[in-house]
Amino acid sequence: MKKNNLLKVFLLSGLVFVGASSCTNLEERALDGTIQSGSSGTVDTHAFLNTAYNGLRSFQDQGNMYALSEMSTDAMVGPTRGGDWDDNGAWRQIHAHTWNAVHVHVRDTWNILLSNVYNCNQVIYNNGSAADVLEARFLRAFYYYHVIDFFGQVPHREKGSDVNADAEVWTRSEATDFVISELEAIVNSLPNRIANDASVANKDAARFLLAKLYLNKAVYTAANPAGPYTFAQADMNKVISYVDAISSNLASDYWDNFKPTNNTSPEILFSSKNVRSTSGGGLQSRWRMCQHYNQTPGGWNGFSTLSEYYDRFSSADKRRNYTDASIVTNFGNPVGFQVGQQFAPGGVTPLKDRNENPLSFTREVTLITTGNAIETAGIRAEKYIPDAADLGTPENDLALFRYSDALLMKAEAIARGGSSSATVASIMSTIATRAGVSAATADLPGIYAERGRELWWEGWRRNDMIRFGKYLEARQLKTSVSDAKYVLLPIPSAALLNPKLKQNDGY
Amino acid sequence: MKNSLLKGLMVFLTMLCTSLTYSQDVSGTVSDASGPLPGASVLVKGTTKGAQTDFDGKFTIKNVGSNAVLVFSYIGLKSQEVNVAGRSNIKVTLKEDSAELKEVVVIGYGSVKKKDATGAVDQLNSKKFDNVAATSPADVLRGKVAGVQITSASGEPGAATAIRVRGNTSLRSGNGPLIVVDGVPLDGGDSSAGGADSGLGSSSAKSPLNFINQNDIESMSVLKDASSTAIYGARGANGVIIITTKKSKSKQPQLNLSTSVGISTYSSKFDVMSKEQYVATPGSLNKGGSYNWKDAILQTGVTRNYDLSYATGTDNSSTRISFGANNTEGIVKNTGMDKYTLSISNSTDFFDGTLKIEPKILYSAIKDNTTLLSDKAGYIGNVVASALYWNPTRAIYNTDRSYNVVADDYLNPVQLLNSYQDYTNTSKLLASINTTVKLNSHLKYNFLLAFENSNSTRKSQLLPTIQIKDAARATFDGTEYYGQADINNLNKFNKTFEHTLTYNKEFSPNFTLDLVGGFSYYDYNFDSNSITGKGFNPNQTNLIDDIQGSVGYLSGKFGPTSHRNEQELQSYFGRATANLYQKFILNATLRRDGSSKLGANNKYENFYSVGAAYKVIEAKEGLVNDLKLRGSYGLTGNQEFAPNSAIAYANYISPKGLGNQVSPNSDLKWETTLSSGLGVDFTLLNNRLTGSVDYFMKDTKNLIFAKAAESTQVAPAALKYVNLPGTLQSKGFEVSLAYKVIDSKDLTWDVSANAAFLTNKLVDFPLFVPVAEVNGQGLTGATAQALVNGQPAYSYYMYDFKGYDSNGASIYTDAAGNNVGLGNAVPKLVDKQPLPKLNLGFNTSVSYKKFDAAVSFYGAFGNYIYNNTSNALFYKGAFPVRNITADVANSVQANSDPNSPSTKYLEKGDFLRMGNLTLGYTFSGALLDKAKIKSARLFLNGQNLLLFTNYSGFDPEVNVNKTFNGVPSAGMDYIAYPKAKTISVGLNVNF
Repeated sequence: MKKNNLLKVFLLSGLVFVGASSCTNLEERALDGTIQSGSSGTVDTHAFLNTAYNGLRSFQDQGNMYALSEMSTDAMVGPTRGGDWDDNGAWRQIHAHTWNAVHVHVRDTWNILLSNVYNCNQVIYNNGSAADVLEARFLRAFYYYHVIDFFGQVPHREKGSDVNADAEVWTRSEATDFVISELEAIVNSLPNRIANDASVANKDAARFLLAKLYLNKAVYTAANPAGPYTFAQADMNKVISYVDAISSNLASDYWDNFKPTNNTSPEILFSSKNVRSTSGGGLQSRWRMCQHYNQTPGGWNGFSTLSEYYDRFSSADKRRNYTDASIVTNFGNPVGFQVGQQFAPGGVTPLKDRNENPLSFTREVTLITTGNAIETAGIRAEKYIPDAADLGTPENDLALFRYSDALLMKAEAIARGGSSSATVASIMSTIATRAGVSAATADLPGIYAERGRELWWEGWRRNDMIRFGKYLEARQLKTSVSDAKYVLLPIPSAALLNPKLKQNDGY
Repeated sequence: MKNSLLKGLMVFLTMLCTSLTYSQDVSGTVSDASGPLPGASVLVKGTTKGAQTDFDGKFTIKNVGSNAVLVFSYIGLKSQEVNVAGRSNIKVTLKEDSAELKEVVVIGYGSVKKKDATGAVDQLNSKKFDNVAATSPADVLRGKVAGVQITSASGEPGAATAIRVRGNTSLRSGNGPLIVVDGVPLDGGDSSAGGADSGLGSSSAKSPLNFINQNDIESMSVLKDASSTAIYGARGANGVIIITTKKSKSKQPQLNLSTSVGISTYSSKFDVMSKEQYVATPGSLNKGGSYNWKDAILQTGVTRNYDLSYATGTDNSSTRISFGANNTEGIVKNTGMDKYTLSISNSTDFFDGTLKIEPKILYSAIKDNTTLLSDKAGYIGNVVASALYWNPTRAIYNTDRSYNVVADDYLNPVQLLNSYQDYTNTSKLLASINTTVKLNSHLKYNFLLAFENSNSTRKSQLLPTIQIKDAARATFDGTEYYGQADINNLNKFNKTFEHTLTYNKEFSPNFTLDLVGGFSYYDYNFDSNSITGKGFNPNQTNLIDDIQGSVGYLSGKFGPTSHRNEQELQSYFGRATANLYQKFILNATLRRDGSSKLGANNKYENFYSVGAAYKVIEAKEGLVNDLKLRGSYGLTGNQEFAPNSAIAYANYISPKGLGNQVSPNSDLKWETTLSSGLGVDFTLLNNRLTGSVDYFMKDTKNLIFAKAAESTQVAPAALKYVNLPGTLQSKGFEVSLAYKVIDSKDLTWDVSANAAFLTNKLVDFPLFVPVAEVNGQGLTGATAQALVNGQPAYSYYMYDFKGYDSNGASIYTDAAGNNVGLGNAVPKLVDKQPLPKLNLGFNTSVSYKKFDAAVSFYGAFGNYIYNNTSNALFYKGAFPVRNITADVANSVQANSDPNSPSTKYLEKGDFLRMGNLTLGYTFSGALLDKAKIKSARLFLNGQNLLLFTNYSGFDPEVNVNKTFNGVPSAGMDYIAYPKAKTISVGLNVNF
């Protein structure tokens, strides 16, 4: 009886369920995604290429690469306005040259640039199509260029390396040599620039970047990153020949480069693309970062330029301001630099700030604004013409490389000993004529000054100031000469977990 | 006289002789306070003769001497000796035994007499929390067990709760203990969705433990040390809480009805300036109206509870069914929780008790209502923030009864409140069937099959009639439309399979052996989806139920997401316990765990523990009654991190691009905690004082940590899960005492107290990790705490505020410690921590005849709270546009002084709270008998009636989710939902 019972019991209980709980090998699956692993041969290389292109949108934000390139110079300041824009001192530190290895924009810049190098590697190392690999190699060179420029040292991973191991590290000059050789290997194989869409890697973009690298090679290979720099004639000739190879011409109107339909400008050699109301980066920052809350488009009441910088533009300079009937109707104020009383759309009704003082932007600004000018201190600017059809997801593309920059690089290369049939004066005249001003002096100081006006707030100021030896100097709100270490950013502190990276000197 | 004396003596002797020679059958009934008690033991003293009571609590013993003494005993109740004195029928009611050492406590895969336990285990039985209004079982544990800290994120009904057993064992999230309900280990995740972000910040999910009705709980057992948790191996490092639900104890039907109603009101002393104070402050902007933030958004919340349960049984079977309905209104308008629970349990024996089948169902349906509250609100704020900052001289309504709209970044709090709707429906089913086969008198096979299925839908909407800057809007055909609707579904389907064999045998009185061995497999499936629509017709009001009205629908773009993941765990385990000479108990546990989440190269790890106890003194009379020493040592683990963290995961975020890339780590392995502990359990002073003292050390190594992306470049811009070098060391000391001050027939008075001292430190920690995000205007990227080598975890790291200079600018310090202005200030470690150094609990109960009273206090000391609310809202520059506190308005701070995060906002978090006060009266008598009522009790319950603290915010018991880079925060207060005080009255009737 008892044995019979036991038998029944087993039949009824355990055995029924044994099949339902057999052993598993515990292999993990990606149920709502994919496993993009080279070893299993399932990398969607084309998707990684697109992801690397999307990475360019990071240049549209007001922070990171953009803030480090402009706000660390004489062109821009991000004042703390009472309770606003303190942000743990991040913006003040950039302007005052007091950042350190845990600065949030330093960290994020490092991650944005290098993770996009990784995206490119996924295409290059995993048998992407020939066309995709070419584009990925260009994009990788673009990202590497910025790592060289900001950080000096460049971590890299070669094909087949162990992802769990630390990346290898190039010195600044090794990385420069690599990126130049890489670009020279692909420049003639890249596609031609597509009319009305400079957002795809192309020959002209590669030529521009090569010119930029040769022009700065003296900086990137200098024994001391802060200089002195010795510009080799051979490098300058390379600059000239690559600029000469670019197939482009200036837009008739300077502001064609910054309007919502700026993709039609013949002058933009490489861009980060946005599609109105559909997809895009944070280009709205180009108007919102300065505009007061009560302006249209409404802004975040943040950044300003400095009067010292603003005063370098003559009142005739078309690059200083721009307006037309629709701008007056939609926004009330001209684009470009804004100083004095601001108006509501229509351009008639004067605006007030939140403390009910007149909204009148002052020339004076301090790192921490005070008194009645808390909200109104500082000259503001909109470099891009806001897209009235969608102020949040606009149509304007971000111009990354412009032909006028290439021309100025050529002029500088000639002035630094390169040989060309063209003259510095003729190039300077071309640039000045469009701007409606008389040409600057045909020498290095003139070129430096003209770059400051032509390329204002386009992300090149730090690079230019370093190359011209001006970056560390005292200026309006940075009253003492900076330590030489600030020509390079520190390696983010957590990145030093890779023992092959050494902190940059002085940090 | 002498004769009569002699006669009497004769009669007595005769009787005595008669009785000495006479034996009889004795039968009777044993019951406890709640009715007949099955399974109680009845023994004739000095013999081995005895019986067990049946399902109706009845027993019969044949041939009992008429002068014999019967010993009645039952686990957890006080044994009682009764002289038969010639009676043939004896009724005994056993009283609860508060001498905890005699208790049986539930441990993993079994139970043990507390006096034989080698591990640190505390059990809370239902008597201690019956009739306490609570929305989650976690609430009733608060302050009751030494070393268990329960912190609600806020005062909102059902708010997320952080439970910590012996402090934090891990650096990342996943510090909560493993919860085991009737043998089924729950996964550690949320059951309901967090709040969608309408542009004002998102909110956290509610506590996943809410699904259990605490009135269905028989006991909660807290396993604190390695000796007791190692049987759960990789999931035991944070401690284990085993919840056992009630079962039927009786064959006679028992019906229990319990109901209560309560009212909740705002309890905090915190306030911003009144209209009068505001107007009296120089520079104020008097708008001529009148406004009070409490009237605008607070309400008196009404709470109702109904519980109905019945239990019944037959010779072979017992069944208990209960229904619970709970309706809790929050003290912020539009918030509250409706909870309905159903519990069914049955136990049936087949084949003469060889097979026992125990099916169980716990079902809950919860509706959470909330308003726009957010953990990380920006400067526009949320419902509470806008209510606080609204100028008290501005009217809410214009004269035409329309809302007084000021600006899209200065929101009318009543308009915001009324424009926002947010509710979550969560249903959860936990069903299990436990089959036990008695293979012989020593060996049992047990199979547990369980599944847990939960479905949660959260819907929220912000009406298009309110405009919020940069939020909840979309452009269509060149026109901007407002409003946002979010629908978020979250489903879980979990399966548990466990096979265990248990063997126990008493080889001799000097050697007994208990063995447990088993295999378990857990399969946790999670999926979710969400949809967001923005930009609606201004006349549409039912956005969430007609999301097609959004701009997204028209443009073919909706903002949908969907996710799914699975994790599997597979384990083999065994435990041996030997009891030698009834003095020494030795215990060894081994568990081998594997998880699908770990790197391909390290799927499995072995966990173990050894424990020993020595009973120095046992059951002695006098001052020292029991004394037991115990020690344990073992390795446990923690696996609470997200699935798909070790593989080269990426998903498509458009037809073209990939996103959410994971930096893979095929070497990722278990985080392990090596712990050791010593403890003493004692009973003193003629069994009046019982207590335990414990000391423990824990070293957590191979810390699973999301390493910052910058340390892994060239790699995806994602955190990489790695095992960090370095150790999180924690040490602690726990004392719990219970004293019976008075224990007489009519009057009893018990006092108990517990205290836990806890410290931790990071050793050889290679990183400097900023944690605890600070939010608000001008506070982007700011953090308040850091993980730093050589310091306690989550040490505060910020500017050290030294006062104001003559211009009203804040003075901080530079690297050298000199006083400087903001421009030259550097943040520093200020040697203050958010985790309490001491947690206290104090409980006392008195009963006198039919009256009973109990009061409980708890508190935390030595911790600091970062008052992000003050940081974001209350600085001079915010005035006069925004209202601020009187303290700030009267300070010398300049209007232009930025509100940089600093020690200005760091406050002591010490508090002592009267958690509960209960007064009860138990009715009895003829009237009840007539109504067939066994017992009835009327009670009055007060929660949070007293609070002692110097903290300036709403409440010092706060833990707003400020997770930063995957590291959880502690001690952060940011516009947390204010805590209520609640007074309720209730009736509990047993039929």
